[in-house]
Formats: sequence, structure tokens, C-alpha cells
Amino acid sequence: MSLHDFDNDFDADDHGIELLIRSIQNDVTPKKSLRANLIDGVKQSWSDLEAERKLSGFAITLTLMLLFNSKVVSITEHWGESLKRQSSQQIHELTIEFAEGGFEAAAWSIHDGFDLFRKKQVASFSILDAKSAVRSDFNRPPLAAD
Amino acid sequence: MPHHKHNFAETVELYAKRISSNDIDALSGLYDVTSQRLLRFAVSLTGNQHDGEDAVQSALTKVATNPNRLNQVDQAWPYLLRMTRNEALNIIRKRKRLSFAPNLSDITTLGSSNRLADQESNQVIWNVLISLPARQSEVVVLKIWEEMTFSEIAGVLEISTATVASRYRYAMDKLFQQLSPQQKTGEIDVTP
Repeated sequence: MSLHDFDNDFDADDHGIELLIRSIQNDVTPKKSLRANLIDGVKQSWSDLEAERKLSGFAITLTLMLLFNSKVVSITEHWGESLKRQSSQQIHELTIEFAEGGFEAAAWSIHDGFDLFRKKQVASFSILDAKSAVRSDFNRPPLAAD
Repeated sequence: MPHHKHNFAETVELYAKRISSNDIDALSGLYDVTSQRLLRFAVSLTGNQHDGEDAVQSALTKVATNPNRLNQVDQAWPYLLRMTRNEALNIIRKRKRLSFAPNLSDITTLGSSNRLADQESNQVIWNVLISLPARQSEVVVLKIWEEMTFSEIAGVLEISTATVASRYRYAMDKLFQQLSPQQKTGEIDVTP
């Protein structure tokens, strides 16, 4: 006899016992307090987890800000040096390096921020250059009168 | 697999999926559809309602504290039964250490029927069922109450199908030996 046959081939005695066992299957029901305890407990637990998650998020943000801040300080120092040397290519490379280096999500906004800053710097250089040119013009000996 | 059984398993899967996104309503829903079935299974192992409820609560709390757990397994319902069983067996082990005896009288809802005769009959059947070794009573409960095949029961209990069939056979023989005389003497009233 296969297991399948065994599974389905109960004799009358088994059938009688099955009926008896089946007759008590709905006797036990959970107390109402069980549902309340469980659901309230879980709500509290999930709420705690959510709070913990938010706190973790805040902690991560704070850490990033601090890290970012230190990077900004160091990069700005580099940048200052570069600016002194008027090496816009180096500034650009530094910005890209920083953007690709880490902080994943923040990287491109950081990059954009620096890029914008760089453009402003370039623009101010242009103004400086223009002023310098004007000054040069101003300092240039007057053209001889025709 | 019977259609209603298939639907039930699917319902549990759907709740499992929703719970994985911390949906508290889904957890309530899961509780509503499974708690009675989990409890009767647990009570058949622990022999009393209080411990059975503790087992169900522990299992469902574990689901809640790891919301992805049920959604990640192949079959959520058999997995939930197995979790409840593990909790019930843990409770039995602790009870053995503390020498607590099962007390079926705390099944407050025992005998949902208003007929006293029914309640007494049911008490007799319950007593016989929980007097079986847990490894046999759990097979009987899964087979008769959960309408599982031997192969499905083997999956829940993580034993071979042949072992399940063998345990069921032993259990049925014992149940017959103990319930049949009482049925004949009228102690058990199964008339509708």
C-alpha cells in the first residue's frame, strides 16, 4: 500500500475517531486580552523602532554634517591655495574627487554646490581680471595725441 | 489541496507580505485569521490554554519584531505553525524543569456548546488527546483540524512522511482504545 493510499484509506474506526476529534476543534478560542496585549505591544514596539530609526537617521545626518564640515574646511583650504595659484583645473578636479569619493547621496549636491561656487569664483576672477585690465589701461601711459 | 485550505494559505501569504512593510492592520488581520487555529494547535501540545496563548503570543511577537520573516519563507502558514510549535515545546521544556502539570481546566472556552452533555463529552476527548505524547497529538491535530496531508505535516515538523504516518497510526490506535469504550458506555455524546 502506498503512502497516498494510506493517507486516504482510513477504516471506519479511524473515521469515528476523526469525527470525535473534529467535534472539539472549535472549543478553544483565544481570550480577548490576548489580541489586545499582542497588537498594543507590537504597536508600541513598532513605534519605538520608528523613533529609533528616526534617531539613527538624525545621528547619521549629524555625523555626515560633521564629516562634511571637516571636508569642507580641508577642501576650502586646498581651494584657497588653488585660487591663489589661479588653477581652475585643480579646483575642478578637487570638486569631482570629493563628489565621487563618498557620501553617496550627498555627493552630487555637494559637487553642484562646489561647482556653483567655482563658477562664482571664476566669475569674480573675470571681474578681477577685467578690473586689472582696466587698471592696466589706467596705468598705461596716455596715448600720444594724434 | 482543498480549495478553502488553498485560500487560507494564500490569505496568510498576503498578510505576511503586508506585514513586511510594518502594516499594523495586516498584523491584526493575521491574528484574526490564524490565532484560533494556532492556539488549538498549541493547546494540544501544552495541555492548557494559558501556555498555549503564551506560545501563540511569542510566535506572533517574533513575526512582528522581524516583519520580513514570514514574507521571506516559501510557505508562510506551515512556517507559522512551526514557530508556534517551537514556542509551545519551549514552554513544555521549561514547565518540566519547574515540574508544572498541565491543567486543561483553564480552557475557559471549552465546550462552546450550551449542552452540558456536550461539554462533558468534549472534556473527555480533550483529556484523551492531550494525554498522547506531543509528537503524536500534533500529527493528529494537523491531520484532522488543519486537514494537512502526511507530506505537508512532514514539512511542518521537519520529519519524514513515513514517520508522520507511523505516529498518526499509533495515535489513532491509542485514541480508539481510549475513546471507543467511553463512546459505547455513553460517556461521549456525539449526537448532533
